[in-house]
Amino acid sequence: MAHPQVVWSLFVRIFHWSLVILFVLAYITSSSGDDDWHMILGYAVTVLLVARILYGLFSSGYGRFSRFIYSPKVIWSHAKGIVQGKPAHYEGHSPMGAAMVFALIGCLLTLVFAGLIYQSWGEYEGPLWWLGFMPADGFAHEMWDLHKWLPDILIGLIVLHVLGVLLACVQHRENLVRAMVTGKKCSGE
Amino acid sequence: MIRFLLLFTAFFAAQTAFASDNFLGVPRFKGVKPVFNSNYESSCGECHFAYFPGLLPGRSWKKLMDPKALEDHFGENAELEEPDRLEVLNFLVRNAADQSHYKRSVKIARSLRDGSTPLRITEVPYIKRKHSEIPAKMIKGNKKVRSLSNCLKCHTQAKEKGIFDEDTVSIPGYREWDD
Ligand code: HEC
Ligand code: HEC
Repeated sequence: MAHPQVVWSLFVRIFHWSLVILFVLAYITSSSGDDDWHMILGYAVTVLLVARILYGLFSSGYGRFSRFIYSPKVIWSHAKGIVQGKPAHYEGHSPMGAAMVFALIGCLLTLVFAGLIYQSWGEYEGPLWWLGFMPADGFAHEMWDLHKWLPDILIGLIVLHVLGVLLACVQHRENLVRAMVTGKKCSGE
Repeated sequence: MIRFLLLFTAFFAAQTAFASDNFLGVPRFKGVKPVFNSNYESSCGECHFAYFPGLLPGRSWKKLMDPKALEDHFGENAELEEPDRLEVLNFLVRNAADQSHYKRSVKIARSLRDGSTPLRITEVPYIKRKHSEIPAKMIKGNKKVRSLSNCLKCHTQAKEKGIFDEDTVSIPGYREWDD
Protein backbone atom coordinates (compact mmCIF):
# COMPACT_ATOMS: atom_id res chain seq x y z
CA MET A 1 0.00 0.00 0.00
CA ALA A 2 1.23 3.43 -0.89
CA HIS A 3 1.56 6.20 1.68
CA PRO A 4 -1.57 8.19 2.36
CA GLN A 5 -1.50 11.64 0.84
CA VAL A 6 -3.80 14.60 1.14
CA VAL A 7 -6.29 14.37 -1.67
CA TRP A 8 -9.18 16.45 -0.33
CA SER A 9 -8.21 20.00 0.50
CA LEU A 10 -9.50 21.75 3.60
CA PHE A 11 -11.90 23.68 1.36
CA VAL A 12 -13.38 20.54 -0.18
CA ARG A 13 -13.85 18.93 3.24
CA ILE A 14 -15.48 21.97 4.79
CA PHE A 15 -17.67 22.31 1.72
CA HIS A 16 -18.75 18.68 1.92
CA TRP A 17 -19.68 18.56 5.59
CA SER A 18 -21.26 22.01 5.77
CA LEU A 19 -23.40 21.05 2.81
CA VAL A 20 -24.52 17.91 4.62
CA ILE A 21 -25.50 19.89 7.71
CA LEU A 22 -27.16 22.75 5.83
CA PHE A 23 -29.13 20.40 3.59
CA VAL A 24 -30.50 18.49 6.57
CA LEU A 25 -31.45 21.69 8.39
CA ALA A 26 -33.04 23.17 5.26
CA TYR A 27 -35.03 19.98 4.79
CA ILE A 28 -36.28 20.07 8.37
CA THR A 29 -37.20 23.77 8.33
CA SER A 30 -39.11 23.37 5.04
CA SER A 31 -42.01 21.78 6.88
CA SER A 32 -41.60 23.04 10.44
CA GLY A 33 -42.86 26.56 9.71
CA ASP A 34 -39.47 28.22 10.27
CA ASP A 35 -39.61 30.06 6.97
CA ASP A 36 -37.06 32.70 7.88
CA TRP A 37 -34.52 30.07 8.88
CA HIS A 38 -35.26 28.06 5.77
CA MET A 39 -34.42 31.07 3.62
CA ILE A 40 -31.20 31.79 5.49
CA LEU A 41 -30.18 28.15 5.07
CA GLY A 42 -31.03 28.39 1.37
CA TYR A 43 -28.75 31.40 1.03
CA ALA A 44 -25.99 29.55 2.85
CA VAL A 45 -26.30 26.59 0.47
CA THR A 46 -26.22 29.02 -2.47
CA VAL A 47 -23.05 30.65 -1.19
CA LEU A 48 -21.44 27.23 -0.68
CA LEU A 49 -22.35 26.13 -4.20
CA VAL A 50 -21.02 29.32 -5.79
CA ALA A 51 -17.80 28.98 -3.79
CA ARG A 52 -17.47 25.35 -4.88
CA ILE A 53 -17.94 26.26 -8.52
CA LEU A 54 -15.32 29.00 -8.35
CA TYR A 55 -13.02 26.55 -6.60
CA GLY A 56 -13.70 23.90 -9.24
CA LEU A 57 -12.80 26.35 -11.98
CA PHE A 58 -9.78 28.08 -10.49
CA SER A 59 -8.06 25.79 -7.97
CA SER A 60 -5.43 23.29 -8.97
CA GLY A 61 -5.90 20.23 -6.72
CA TYR A 62 -8.09 17.17 -7.03
CA GLY A 63 -11.09 19.40 -6.52
CA ARG A 64 -10.63 21.12 -9.89
CA PHE A 65 -13.53 20.20 -12.19
CA SER A 66 -11.32 19.47 -15.20
CA ARG A 67 -9.58 16.75 -13.19
CA PHE A 68 -12.74 14.75 -12.80
CA ILE A 69 -14.61 15.21 -16.03
CA TYR A 70 -14.64 11.77 -17.61
CA SER A 71 -16.08 10.61 -20.92
CA PRO A 72 -19.22 8.46 -20.81
CA LYS A 73 -17.09 5.55 -22.05
CA VAL A 74 -14.74 5.77 -19.09
CA ILE A 75 -17.69 6.09 -16.68
CA TRP A 76 -19.32 3.06 -18.25
CA SER A 77 -16.20 0.90 -18.04
CA HIS A 78 -15.67 2.03 -14.44
CA ALA A 79 -19.22 0.96 -13.64
CA LYS A 80 -18.64 -2.40 -15.31
CA GLY A 81 -15.45 -2.86 -13.31
CA ILE A 82 -17.34 -2.21 -10.08
CA VAL A 83 -20.02 -4.76 -10.94
CA GLN A 84 -17.38 -7.34 -11.90
CA GLY A 85 -15.59 -6.74 -8.60
CA LYS A 86 -12.48 -5.34 -10.32
CA PRO A 87 -12.89 -1.60 -9.92
CA ALA A 88 -10.09 0.62 -11.19
CA HIS A 89 -8.55 2.81 -8.49
CA TYR A 90 -8.41 6.58 -8.84
CA GLU A 91 -6.60 9.02 -6.58
CA GLY A 92 -9.21 11.75 -6.70
CA HIS A 93 -12.83 11.32 -7.76
CA SER A 94 -13.49 8.06 -9.59
CA PRO A 95 -15.64 8.35 -12.76
CA MET A 96 -18.79 7.11 -11.01
CA GLY A 97 -18.08 9.30 -7.99
CA ALA A 98 -17.51 12.29 -10.25
CA ALA A 99 -20.79 11.69 -12.07
CA MET A 100 -22.50 11.76 -8.67
CA VAL A 101 -20.76 15.00 -7.69
CA PHE A 102 -22.03 16.72 -10.83
CA ALA A 103 -25.52 15.27 -10.43
CA LEU A 104 -25.71 16.51 -6.82
CA ILE A 105 -24.33 19.96 -7.58
CA GLY A 106 -26.62 20.28 -10.62
CA CYS A 107 -29.73 19.34 -8.65
CA LEU A 108 -28.80 21.62 -5.76
CA LEU A 109 -28.20 24.57 -8.09
CA THR A 110 -31.58 24.01 -9.72
CA LEU A 111 -33.16 23.73 -6.27
CA VAL A 112 -31.78 27.01 -4.92
CA PHE A 113 -32.57 28.76 -8.22
CA ALA A 114 -36.20 27.58 -8.00
CA GLY A 115 -36.31 28.64 -4.36
CA LEU A 116 -35.10 32.16 -5.16
CA ILE A 117 -37.65 32.50 -7.98
CA TYR A 118 -40.51 31.34 -5.75
CA GLN A 119 -39.33 33.58 -2.92
CA SER A 120 -39.52 36.68 -5.08
CA TRP A 121 -42.88 35.75 -6.61
CA GLY A 122 -44.68 34.32 -3.58
CA GLU A 123 -42.96 35.87 -0.57
CA TYR A 124 -42.05 39.34 -1.87
CA GLU A 125 -38.64 38.93 -0.33
CA GLY A 126 -35.08 38.00 -1.09
CA PRO A 127 -32.35 39.02 -3.52
CA LEU A 128 -34.43 38.78 -6.71
CA TRP A 129 -37.21 40.82 -5.15
CA TRP A 130 -34.74 43.48 -4.09
CA LEU A 131 -33.38 43.53 -7.62
CA GLY A 132 -36.93 44.17 -8.82
CA PHE A 133 -37.24 40.84 -10.61
CA MET A 134 -40.79 39.48 -10.63
CA PRO A 135 -41.13 36.21 -12.55
CA ALA A 136 -44.21 35.39 -14.63
CA ASP A 137 -46.97 33.40 -12.89
CA GLY A 138 -46.63 30.22 -14.97
CA PHE A 139 -42.88 30.04 -14.59
CA ALA A 140 -43.08 30.75 -10.86
CA HIS A 141 -45.63 27.97 -10.40
CA GLU A 142 -43.33 25.52 -12.13
CA MET A 143 -40.42 26.57 -9.96
CA TRP A 144 -42.63 26.28 -6.86
CA ASP A 145 -43.52 22.69 -7.79
CA LEU A 146 -39.93 21.91 -8.65
CA HIS A 147 -38.80 23.28 -5.31
CA LYS A 148 -41.16 20.82 -3.62
CA TRP A 149 -40.23 17.60 -5.45
CA LEU A 150 -36.55 18.07 -6.23
CA PRO A 151 -35.50 17.52 -2.58
CA ASP A 152 -36.91 14.00 -2.73
CA ILE A 153 -34.89 13.28 -5.88
CA LEU A 154 -31.88 14.63 -4.00
CA ILE A 155 -32.53 12.33 -1.07
CA GLY A 156 -32.58 9.43 -3.54
CA LEU A 157 -29.26 10.56 -5.01
CA ILE A 158 -27.78 10.98 -1.52
CA VAL A 159 -28.79 7.43 -0.62
CA LEU A 160 -27.12 6.17 -3.82
CA HIS A 161 -24.07 8.33 -3.04
CA VAL A 162 -23.71 6.84 0.44
CA LEU A 163 -24.22 3.30 -0.85
CA GLY A 164 -21.65 3.94 -3.57
CA VAL A 165 -19.13 5.22 -1.06
CA LEU A 166 -19.71 2.22 1.22
CA LEU A 167 -19.25 -0.15 -1.73
CA ALA A 168 -16.04 1.62 -2.71
CA CYS A 169 -14.84 1.37 0.92
CA VAL A 170 -15.32 -2.38 0.78
CA GLN A 171 -13.87 -2.88 -2.68
CA HIS A 172 -10.77 -0.76 -2.08
CA ARG A 173 -10.42 -1.63 1.62
CA GLU A 174 -10.18 2.01 2.48
CA ASN A 175 -12.17 4.20 4.85
CA LEU A 176 -13.37 6.90 2.46
CA VAL A 177 -15.57 8.59 5.06
CA ARG A 178 -12.49 9.24 7.19
CA ALA A 179 -10.72 10.44 4.05
CA MET A 180 -13.35 13.17 3.74
CA VAL A 181 -12.48 14.21 7.32
CA THR A 182 -8.70 14.00 7.31
CA GLY A 183 -8.32 14.56 3.57
CA LYS A 184 -5.90 11.64 3.33
CA LYS A 185 -6.36 8.85 0.84
CA CYS A 186 -4.04 6.08 -0.30
CA SER A 187 -2.94 6.42 -3.89
CA GLY A 188 -2.60 3.32 -6.00
CA GLU A 189 -2.92 -0.22 -4.82
CA MET B 1 -10.48 30.67 3.17
CA ILE B 2 -10.53 33.82 5.32
CA ARG B 3 -11.77 35.79 2.35
CA PHE B 4 -14.52 33.23 1.90
CA LEU B 5 -15.58 33.56 5.54
CA LEU B 6 -15.59 37.34 5.30
CA LEU B 7 -17.75 37.18 2.22
CA PHE B 8 -20.08 34.82 4.00
CA THR B 9 -20.43 37.16 6.98
CA ALA B 10 -20.96 40.19 4.77
CA PHE B 11 -23.68 38.34 2.88
CA PHE B 12 -25.48 37.48 6.11
CA ALA B 13 -25.17 40.97 7.51
CA ALA B 14 -26.62 42.37 4.29
CA GLN B 15 -29.45 39.89 4.38
CA THR B 16 -30.39 40.66 7.97
CA ALA B 17 -30.35 44.36 7.24
CA PHE B 18 -32.64 43.88 4.25
CA ALA B 19 -34.93 41.36 5.85
CA SER B 20 -35.94 43.54 8.78
CA ASP B 21 -38.15 46.32 7.58
CA ASN B 22 -36.90 48.62 10.24
CA PHE B 23 -33.21 47.95 10.01
CA LEU B 24 -31.74 47.41 13.47
CA GLY B 25 -33.81 47.60 16.59
CA VAL B 26 -37.48 47.16 15.86
CA PRO B 27 -38.18 43.47 15.33
CA ARG B 28 -40.19 42.14 12.48
CA PHE B 29 -43.32 40.58 13.96
CA LYS B 30 -44.93 37.43 12.72
CA GLY B 31 -48.36 37.30 11.14
CA VAL B 32 -50.76 40.22 11.11
CA LYS B 33 -51.17 42.53 14.10
CA PRO B 34 -54.06 41.07 16.14
CA VAL B 35 -55.78 44.33 17.04
CA PHE B 36 -59.32 44.53 18.35
CA ASN B 37 -61.83 47.34 18.69
CA SER B 38 -65.28 46.69 20.10
CA ASN B 39 -66.97 49.18 17.81
CA TYR B 40 -65.36 47.54 14.80
CA GLU B 41 -66.32 44.07 16.03
CA SER B 42 -69.97 45.02 16.41
CA SER B 43 -70.15 47.07 13.20
CA CYS B 44 -68.36 44.70 10.86
CA GLY B 45 -68.17 41.37 12.62
CA GLU B 46 -71.77 40.38 12.10
CA CYS B 47 -71.77 38.75 8.66
CA HIS B 48 -68.13 37.64 8.60
CA PHE B 49 -65.32 37.87 11.12
CA ALA B 50 -63.97 41.37 11.53
CA TYR B 51 -61.00 41.17 9.18
CA PHE B 52 -57.78 42.44 10.72
CA PRO B 53 -56.96 45.95 9.51
CA GLY B 54 -53.47 44.70 8.58
CA LEU B 55 -54.92 42.63 5.73
CA LEU B 56 -55.54 45.64 3.45
CA PRO B 57 -53.80 48.97 2.85
CA GLY B 58 -55.37 52.18 4.14
CA ARG B 59 -56.57 53.27 0.70
CA SER B 60 -58.62 50.06 0.38
CA TRP B 61 -60.26 50.60 3.75
CA LYS B 62 -61.09 54.19 2.82
CA LYS B 63 -62.78 53.02 -0.36
CA LEU B 64 -64.68 50.24 1.42
CA MET B 65 -65.79 52.59 4.21
CA ASP B 66 -67.12 55.27 1.91
CA PRO B 67 -70.77 55.90 2.95
CA LYS B 68 -72.00 55.16 -0.58
CA ALA B 69 -69.90 52.01 -0.81
CA LEU B 70 -71.28 50.72 2.50
CA GLU B 71 -74.82 50.94 1.18
CA ASP B 72 -73.89 48.37 -1.43
CA HIS B 73 -71.28 46.27 0.30
CA PHE B 74 -70.87 43.19 -1.92
CA GLY B 75 -74.63 43.21 -2.43
CA GLU B 76 -75.44 43.77 1.26
CA ASN B 77 -76.24 46.89 3.19
CA ALA B 78 -73.56 47.57 5.78
CA GLU B 79 -74.44 51.22 6.49
CA LEU B 80 -73.18 52.75 9.75
CA GLU B 81 -74.01 55.81 11.82
CA GLU B 82 -71.56 58.57 10.95
CA PRO B 83 -69.68 58.61 14.32
CA ASP B 84 -69.29 54.83 14.19
CA ARG B 85 -68.18 54.94 10.58
CA LEU B 86 -65.51 57.52 11.40
CA GLU B 87 -64.24 55.64 14.44
CA VAL B 88 -64.06 52.35 12.55
CA LEU B 89 -62.42 53.99 9.54
CA ASN B 90 -59.84 55.64 11.78
CA PHE B 91 -59.10 52.33 13.51
CA LEU B 92 -58.73 50.51 10.19
CA VAL B 93 -56.50 53.10 8.54
CA ARG B 94 -54.27 53.46 11.59
CA ASN B 95 -53.56 49.73 11.65
CA ALA B 96 -53.63 49.12 7.89
CA ALA B 97 -51.14 46.93 6.05
CA ASP B 98 -49.12 49.88 4.76
CA GLN B 99 -48.63 51.15 8.32
CA SER B 100 -47.58 47.83 9.80
CA HIS B 101 -44.30 46.11 10.60
CA TYR B 102 -45.92 42.70 10.81
CA LYS B 103 -44.60 40.20 8.30
CA ARG B 104 -47.83 39.35 6.48
CA SER B 105 -48.92 42.98 6.31
CA VAL B 106 -45.56 44.02 4.92
CA LYS B 107 -45.93 41.41 2.18
CA ILE B 108 -49.48 42.47 1.41
CA ALA B 109 -48.32 46.07 1.07
CA ARG B 110 -45.37 45.07 -1.09
CA SER B 111 -47.55 43.09 -3.44
CA LEU B 112 -49.66 46.25 -3.95
CA ARG B 113 -46.77 48.53 -4.76
CA ASP B 114 -48.30 49.26 -8.14
CA GLY B 115 -50.81 51.43 -6.26
CA SER B 116 -53.93 49.40 -7.02
CA THR B 117 -56.77 49.47 -4.50
CA PRO B 118 -58.38 46.04 -4.06
CA LEU B 119 -61.72 45.89 -2.24
CA ARG B 120 -61.15 42.27 -1.34
CA ILE B 121 -58.36 40.70 0.69
CA THR B 122 -58.73 37.70 -1.58
CA GLU B 123 -57.73 39.91 -4.51
CA VAL B 124 -54.45 41.05 -3.00
CA PRO B 125 -51.74 39.45 -5.19
CA TYR B 126 -49.85 38.04 -2.21
CA ILE B 127 -52.98 36.36 -0.80
CA LYS B 128 -54.04 35.17 -4.26
CA ARG B 129 -50.66 33.65 -4.99
CA LYS B 130 -50.41 31.94 -1.63
CA HIS B 131 -53.70 30.12 -2.26
CA SER B 132 -53.28 29.50 -5.97
CA GLU B 133 -52.32 25.86 -5.52
CA ILE B 134 -55.30 24.85 -3.39
CA PRO B 135 -57.76 22.87 -5.53
CA ALA B 136 -61.24 24.44 -5.95
CA LYS B 137 -62.87 21.37 -4.41
CA MET B 138 -61.28 22.27 -1.07
CA ILE B 139 -62.64 25.84 -1.15
CA LYS B 140 -65.70 26.56 -3.33
CA GLY B 141 -66.67 22.89 -3.57
CA ASN B 142 -66.17 22.43 0.18
CA LYS B 143 -69.44 22.85 2.08
CA LYS B 144 -67.58 23.67 5.29
CA VAL B 145 -65.60 26.53 3.69
CA ARG B 146 -67.50 27.86 0.64
CA SER B 147 -65.26 30.84 0.01
CA LEU B 148 -61.65 31.85 0.40
CA SER B 149 -62.97 34.90 2.25
CA ASN B 150 -63.67 32.70 5.28
CA CYS B 151 -60.09 32.80 6.50
CA LEU B 152 -60.89 31.40 9.95
CA LYS B 153 -62.25 28.14 8.58
CA CYS B 154 -58.75 27.06 7.62
CA HIS B 155 -56.40 29.30 9.59
CA THR B 156 -56.82 27.96 13.09
CA GLN B 157 -54.72 30.61 14.87
CA ALA B 158 -55.82 33.63 12.87
CA LYS B 159 -58.57 34.94 15.13
CA GLU B 160 -56.67 35.14 18.41
CA LYS B 161 -53.10 35.64 17.26
CA GLY B 162 -53.22 36.89 13.69
CA ILE B 163 -51.02 33.95 12.66
CA PHE B 164 -51.54 32.51 9.17
CA ASP B 165 -48.50 30.21 8.94
CA GLU B 166 -48.80 27.15 6.77
CA ASP B 167 -48.24 24.80 9.70
CA THR B 168 -51.32 26.16 11.50
CA VAL B 169 -53.63 25.53 8.53
CA SER B 170 -56.27 22.84 8.64
CA ILE B 171 -58.79 22.64 5.79
CA PRO B 172 -62.13 21.33 7.11
CA GLY B 173 -62.98 17.95 5.66
CA TYR B 174 -59.41 17.34 4.54
CA ARG B 175 -56.64 16.05 6.69
CA GLU B 176 -53.96 18.47 7.85
CA TRP B 177 -52.85 20.41 4.80
CA ASP B 178 -49.42 19.14 3.96
CA ASP B 179 -47.31 19.57 0.89
C1 HEC C 1 -74.72 42.70 6.16
C2 HEC C 1 -73.58 41.82 6.24
C3 HEC C 1 -72.21 42.48 6.21
C4 HEC C 1 -71.72 43.45 7.05
C5 HEC C 1 -72.43 44.12 8.22
C6 HEC C 1 -70.37 43.69 6.63
N1 HEC C 1 -70.04 42.90 5.59
FE1 HEC C 1 -68.23 42.78 4.70
N2 HEC C 1 -68.92 41.39 3.44
C7 HEC C 1 -70.22 40.91 3.39
C8 HEC C 1 -70.35 40.00 2.28
C9 HEC C 1 -71.63 39.24 1.90
C10 HEC C 1 -69.10 39.93 1.65
C11 HEC C 1 -68.71 39.10 0.45
C12 HEC C 1 -68.21 37.75 0.94
C13 HEC C 1 -67.92 36.78 -0.17
O1 HEC C 1 -67.89 37.16 -1.32
O2 HEC C 1 -67.64 35.63 0.18
C14 HEC C 1 -68.22 40.81 2.40
C15 HEC C 1 -66.88 41.00 2.11
C16 HEC C 1 -66.05 41.85 2.78
C17 HEC C 1 -64.65 42.02 2.48
C18 HEC C 1 -63.86 41.30 1.40
C19 HEC C 1 -63.50 39.90 1.83
C20 HEC C 1 -62.74 39.19 0.75
O3 HEC C 1 -63.34 38.46 -0.01
O4 HEC C 1 -61.52 39.37 0.68
C21 HEC C 1 -64.18 42.96 3.34
C22 HEC C 1 -62.75 43.47 3.42
C23 HEC C 1 -65.29 43.37 4.17
N3 HEC C 1 -66.40 42.67 3.83
C24 HEC C 1 -65.18 44.34 5.15
C25 HEC C 1 -66.28 44.76 5.91
C26 HEC C 1 -66.23 45.87 6.81
C27 HEC C 1 -65.02 46.75 7.06
C28 HEC C 1 -67.45 45.95 7.39
C29 HEC C 1 -67.91 46.97 8.41
C30 HEC C 1 -68.17 48.26 7.86
C31 HEC C 1 -68.27 44.89 6.85
N4 HEC C 1 -67.53 44.20 5.95
C32 HEC C 1 -69.55 44.64 7.23
C33 HEC C 1 -71.21 41.21 4.28
C34 HEC C 1 -71.14 42.14 5.28
C1 HEC D 1 -59.56 26.68 2.16
C2 HEC D 1 -58.80 27.02 3.33
C3 HEC D 1 -58.20 28.43 3.40
C4 HEC D 1 -58.90 29.61 3.50
C5 HEC D 1 -60.39 29.83 3.52
C6 HEC D 1 -57.89 30.65 3.60
N1 HEC D 1 -56.63 30.08 3.54
FE1 HEC D 1 -54.86 31.07 3.70
N2 HEC D 1 -53.86 29.34 3.36
C7 HEC D 1 -54.45 28.10 3.20
C8 HEC D 1 -53.40 27.13 2.89
C9 HEC D 1 -53.61 25.65 2.63
C10 HEC D 1 -52.18 27.83 2.89
C11 HEC D 1 -50.79 27.27 2.60
C12 HEC D 1 -50.57 27.35 1.09
C13 HEC D 1 -49.22 26.87 0.64
O1 HEC D 1 -48.23 27.43 1.08
O2 HEC D 1 -49.17 25.96 -0.17
C14 HEC D 1 -52.51 29.22 3.19
C15 HEC D 1 -51.57 30.23 3.29
C16 HEC D 1 -51.85 31.52 3.69
C17 HEC D 1 -50.88 32.52 3.96
C18 HEC D 1 -49.36 32.33 3.86
C19 HEC D 1 -48.88 31.50 5.02
C20 HEC D 1 -47.44 31.05 4.90
O3 HEC D 1 -47.01 30.27 5.76
O4 HEC D 1 -46.76 31.46 3.97
C21 HEC D 1 -51.53 33.66 4.32
C22 HEC D 1 -50.92 34.98 4.72
C23 HEC D 1 -52.94 33.36 4.27
N3 HEC D 1 -53.11 32.05 3.90
C24 HEC D 1 -53.95 34.27 4.58
C25 HEC D 1 -55.30 34.00 4.40
C26 HEC D 1 -56.33 35.00 4.54
C27 HEC D 1 -56.10 36.45 4.92
C28 HEC D 1 -57.51 34.37 4.29
C29 HEC D 1 -58.91 34.97 4.26
C30 HEC D 1 -59.09 36.09 3.36
C31 HEC D 1 -57.21 32.97 4.00
N4 HEC D 1 -55.86 32.79 4.07
C32 HEC D 1 -58.16 32.00 3.74
C33 HEC D 1 -55.79 27.80 3.31
C34 HEC D 1 -56.79 28.73 3.41
